[in-house]
Amino acid sequence: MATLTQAPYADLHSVSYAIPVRPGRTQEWLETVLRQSSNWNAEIRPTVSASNSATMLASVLDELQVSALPHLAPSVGGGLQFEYRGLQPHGPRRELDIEILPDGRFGYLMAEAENMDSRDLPRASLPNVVPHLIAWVFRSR
Amino acid sequence: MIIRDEDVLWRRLHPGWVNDGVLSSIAFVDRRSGKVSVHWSGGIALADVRRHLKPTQLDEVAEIAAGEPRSLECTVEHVPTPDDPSHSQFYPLAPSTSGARRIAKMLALKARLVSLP
Repeated sequence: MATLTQAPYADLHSVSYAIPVRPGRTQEWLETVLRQSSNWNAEIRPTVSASNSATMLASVLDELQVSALPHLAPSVGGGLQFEYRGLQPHGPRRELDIEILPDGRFGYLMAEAENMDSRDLPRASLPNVVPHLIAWVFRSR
Repeated sequence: MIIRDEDVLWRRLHPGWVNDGVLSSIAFVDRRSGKVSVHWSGGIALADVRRHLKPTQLDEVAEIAAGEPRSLECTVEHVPTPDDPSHSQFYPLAPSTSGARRIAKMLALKARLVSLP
């Protein structure tokens, strides 16, 4: 079990579990996490552009009524990544990473073990593409 | 100095990079410089990596052999600094955001988490 070298720290993971999981509440959860991001190490603190794009993505997820909250991982340089793991009972689980670059642009990676597809995701395509990505990661085989 | 394929690299980790014991691909992405900084085991003992931890970093590291990023068409090079003679880095030969994402995911699958002594 990983432990922190110095407490207290706004651990992204513990924050995600501190908030009740309700359908369509990704924005609410994200706001709470981002409010604490000023305490994060400077090299991973999200940029304003990345935070704004994360809010945009969260609103799309809320419109889809996605009940599972993602794991939020920061990138060196000020980006963010929403990570979902599927629940497929047999074979490798599907994984979906939606990355937000420090300048606010989007990209995604779909992975099933070592089978992967990674692409840029134009902002205007978000409402059309994200539903397919979410459906893919949570769909049973 | 030459880093051999079998030499081990250690990547220090932020808490958000490990989820339920699973390493996130973002651990092997650097959107600032495009170059992922690591400690080369040829220049430091694992126990001494702790001296370089930032206050909020985990007391475990991601461990991977240098041959893994090389097998994914990354350059691996020793770039010592005054503070860290073991400092090394790797980066894709053909940089692209989507390519870096795929490489990072492959490395996250191959890396293992190691607790610092």
